[in-house]
Amino acid sequence: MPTPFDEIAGLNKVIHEPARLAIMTALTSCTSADFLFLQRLTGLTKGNLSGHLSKLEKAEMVKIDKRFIGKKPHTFVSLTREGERAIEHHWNRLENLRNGALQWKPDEDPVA
Amino acid sequence: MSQTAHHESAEGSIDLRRLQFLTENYTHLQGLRLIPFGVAFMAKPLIWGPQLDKAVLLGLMTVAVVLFYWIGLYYKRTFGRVQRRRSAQLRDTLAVVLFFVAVVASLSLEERFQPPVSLLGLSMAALFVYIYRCSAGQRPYYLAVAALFASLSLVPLLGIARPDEIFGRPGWLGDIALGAAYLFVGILDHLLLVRSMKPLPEESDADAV
Repeated sequence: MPTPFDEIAGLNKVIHEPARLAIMTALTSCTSADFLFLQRLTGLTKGNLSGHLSKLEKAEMVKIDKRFIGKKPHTFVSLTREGERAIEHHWNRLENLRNGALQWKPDEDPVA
Repeated sequence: MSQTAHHESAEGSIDLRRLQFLTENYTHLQGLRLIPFGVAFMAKPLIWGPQLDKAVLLGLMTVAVVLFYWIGLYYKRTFGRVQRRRSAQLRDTLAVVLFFVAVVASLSLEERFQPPVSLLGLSMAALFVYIYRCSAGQRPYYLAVAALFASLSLVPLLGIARPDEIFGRPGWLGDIALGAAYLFVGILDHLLLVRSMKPLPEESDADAV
């Protein structure tokens, strides 16, 4: 049976970073969102958000789609199938960790 | 997906429930778009009385629709764009269809059986309760508006007016109540959105991830 430390070590580091976790979590609630919306939602600077999105795209967690609306370019971001699975799994894992920590009993072997 | 409500980050506290609520309800929180309809509904009986020309009504509604679209552009420029999930769109479409069926059924039943309460007003109250329930309890003012409409629907029980005198064709109170409700929830929805979104931060050279 995996210990809580194994569980923590097994967390997806790309998603677990708080800003990326926020972006991914927001994207679970929509089909896609544009760059400005994600910026207003997270309060991240353009450079920071751009960097986080690049990392998520590299890890194939999000799909970045650049479109022209009128003459202006717009960047739309959506979760990939892999991203959807990963964020769901990540939250389940965090929830299990939390529940496991709450079920601790003093007579259990601390070494196990 | 179950998750903890708060998550600390390098950028400060990120409230995950806020992120999901705003993303899910962004379209509905664009409250200023309701203002033209609120003004139109209130202006209708206040300026022209119960005998309104159909052409004037059509003109009022056309102006309201144009302003609805135009104010939408302000939200896109200021807060960005979100494409809603298909399931959420379907749910809302179904609710609107059900509401219109309820309105037609209410008008028909009121004409045929003349019940002692306004079924049309109760249908509107039900719609506002639905909106409240869809927003995870974050917009309690919709319950207040639902209570107002339910109360107005029951006024005929006191013998003061017939149900159709409040919400029906000769009625004007229903129009004013609906107009006032649109203004009220529209302003509060907009304020909720503005309050919940973060300001655009200043760019700096140290923004590397």
